[in-house]
Amino acid sequence: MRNDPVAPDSLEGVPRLQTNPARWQGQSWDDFCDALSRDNVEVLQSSVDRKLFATDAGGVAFGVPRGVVRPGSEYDVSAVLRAAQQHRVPVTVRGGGLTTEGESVAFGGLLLDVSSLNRVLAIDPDAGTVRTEAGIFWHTLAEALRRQDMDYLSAPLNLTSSVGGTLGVGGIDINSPRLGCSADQAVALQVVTPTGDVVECSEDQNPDLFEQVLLGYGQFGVITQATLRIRPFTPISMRYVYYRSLPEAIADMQMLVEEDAADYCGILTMLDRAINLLVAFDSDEREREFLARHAGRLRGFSEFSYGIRAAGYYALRPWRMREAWFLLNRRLDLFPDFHKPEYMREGKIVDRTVVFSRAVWKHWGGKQMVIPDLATSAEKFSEAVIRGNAVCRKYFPHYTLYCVGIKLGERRQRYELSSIPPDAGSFAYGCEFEPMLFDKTYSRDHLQSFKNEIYDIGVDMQTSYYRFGGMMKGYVRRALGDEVVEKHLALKRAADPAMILNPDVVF
Amino acid sequence: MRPGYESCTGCHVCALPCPVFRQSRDLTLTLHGRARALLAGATPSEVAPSTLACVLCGACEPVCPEEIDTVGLTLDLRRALTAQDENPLASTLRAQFPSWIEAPPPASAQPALAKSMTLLASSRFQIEPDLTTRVVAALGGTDRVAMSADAGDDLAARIEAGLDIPEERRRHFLAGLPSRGTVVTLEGLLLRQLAGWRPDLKTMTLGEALLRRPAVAQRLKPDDLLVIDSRGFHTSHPRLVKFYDTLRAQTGCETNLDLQRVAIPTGAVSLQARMGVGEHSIGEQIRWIMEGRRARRVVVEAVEDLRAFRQHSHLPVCHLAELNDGAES
Repeated sequence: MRNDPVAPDSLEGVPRLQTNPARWQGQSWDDFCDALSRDNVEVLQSSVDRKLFATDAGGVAFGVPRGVVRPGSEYDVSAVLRAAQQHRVPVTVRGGGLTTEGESVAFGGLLLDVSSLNRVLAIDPDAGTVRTEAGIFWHTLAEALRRQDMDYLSAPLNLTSSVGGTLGVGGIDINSPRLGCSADQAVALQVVTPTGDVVECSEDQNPDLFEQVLLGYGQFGVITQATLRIRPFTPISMRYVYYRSLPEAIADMQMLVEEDAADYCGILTMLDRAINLLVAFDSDEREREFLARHAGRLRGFSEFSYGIRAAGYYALRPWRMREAWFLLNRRLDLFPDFHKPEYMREGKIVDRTVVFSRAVWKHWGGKQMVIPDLATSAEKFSEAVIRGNAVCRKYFPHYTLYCVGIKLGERRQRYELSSIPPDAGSFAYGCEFEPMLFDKTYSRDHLQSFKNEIYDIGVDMQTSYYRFGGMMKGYVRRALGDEVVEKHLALKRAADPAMILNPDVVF
Repeated sequence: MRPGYESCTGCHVCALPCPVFRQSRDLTLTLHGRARALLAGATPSEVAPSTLACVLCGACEPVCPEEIDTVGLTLDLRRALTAQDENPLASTLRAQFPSWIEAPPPASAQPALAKSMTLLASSRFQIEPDLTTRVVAALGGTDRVAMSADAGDDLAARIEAGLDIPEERRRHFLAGLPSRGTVVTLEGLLLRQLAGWRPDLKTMTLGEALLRRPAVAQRLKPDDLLVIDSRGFHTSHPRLVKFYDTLRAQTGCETNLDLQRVAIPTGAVSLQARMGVGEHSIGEQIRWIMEGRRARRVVVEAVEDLRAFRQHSHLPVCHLAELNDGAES
């Protein structure tokens, strides 16, 4: 096995499966750098420049690029990809780096740090659009939009996700049941193709490229600019409904989603018997309509009513006092962060993304984050979540499930090789299974086994999922089937002859 | 004790309000960049460009989900560079601005008179004629306010540059502070240090002290942009964010707080700006602060921001203290 290009130092006699025959071994690096130098593109090769990107938000996959380019414009990106094609150097694109499977980690090759492409180019409140460089973090975009009393439509509940990275994978918000995924708010894109062409695309202009790049997991180009739909900014009013039964909470959420009962809707669990359905509204009219038509049909409880029931439940089961204590502490710890006075105006939350994503990082963030997910049709969702919840219970003492509906648009081509399951109707449903690791360190084996069991449910039930990279690449073909994968692989080979762009994500 | 770099999860929320990132678009120059590089084995020397680019506005500190002592750690890195003779900020300060770090004569080490408030009368007030007088008047006049001759300007400069503070000098400064009452300073970094040196002492930023005076706060108008001094604000963020939010609700004025409720700094108070070194653009920061604002007047807390806004903004600019006597109009 000494000549095995995948693992030159592997044990003799141990057969290795060559998962990626094109794995780069450092060839032509100097020629590649020389070519970029002639195009006035600087390749940063210092230890500090490279080690900054040693891992992603998941903190499980580690790799260091050979060099980093921080592009100043789409032309720098173009030069990088042209040279990479010629010299067959892999290029990993990184925006916010908020992947959890190493998708934005470069295992050698070049890392393209597009967080430098972060200018807002034009805000047009009348047209309801913004044109921005795509490496911008959603929060930075929000800061600029708010100066014009505008807001984006939907974005991940994370301040430091990049626009381009999000459009490439979908992007789910708690308003996705109403507004769809973030990728569906894109009106037009500037894309640098894997061969270095700078191309403008939209539903009318180069529509095939547009459809390939949206939810394309970075396989068909680098999004360098995006025109997105925007809307007037509104504070939101939030309501919480508490459940002791996960199936009941899911059924109620699906009812609200399909009847368009709330502007924001999602489930967040604290314990198997402590489930929170949150609903929120952009206007008083929508909230009144919800109260009149839907609230009475929900099977959950108010916080007070739930608290009384929970107290009774635990009083009769003193051996579960630790669970009660955890729940109480979680309640006291978590909820004040959703009601900080500086983020409230007349009882409504302003800057919801700041409130939510600060809470996400503070209460769920950590050095390691493992968040396997399943995305299903409406019919399969409850079973998938319940089975996934059982896997969480097996591996971890504490975990959170985050469930949300996703309104699907008309353009199905973009959903094909993505988290959107092919059998979904008007709505898909997604669930993230997030163990609360706190300060405990788990082995990678433990974490990987947990993920595998979640994704095995997906394979068994023929659902889709969100996080493709790293060890999860192996599930792409099993989950989506040979036909879909072969079709997109052929498209990828045509678009990216040297297969250099984001090589560790899908193919 | 707040946690150190080892607690960094890599979320880079700290980069969002960072003025250095806004201007350079280079993550290596942010706290995130320093933390990740150090965690990966980099030495203080290797992250020196990042350490020296920081304007120490402190905006990264309140937004860090892990509550890392971001400012303290950056100051530690500057001291480490000084120890290795690799700190151009410190050497420039010593060589070109020695008067900034010269200690006052020991004979002045008399505790300030026991009044309800002691103002550390920084030489920075001298940027604006009569400002000291106006500040004292706005704080309640000499009956209420004592002036400490030892404002600790040299200590603040040393802290910021990454120079050690001689123990004798520290004791001399502390001996000059009153045993009770409130100490007011416009030096945010000194405020931070005082919390460790004299935890019993009640301290306040100049901005807060002035805004607690009704004669000042009531003159803020809905079409004013109040530019909060970032260093002092971020030092006591959990308390002050509520104070300024209430003030905003009462007066209707805009502030330079961003969506995370941290103050967008001009960088004018930074040592780099005051010494005329580094690449930080105050004008670019002011353009960002002003973008999309409806304000018709700028009211500043930091003395240096007076000059900065006069240079880079077309609006009338005044200091908070000037609101007291209507001098601003």
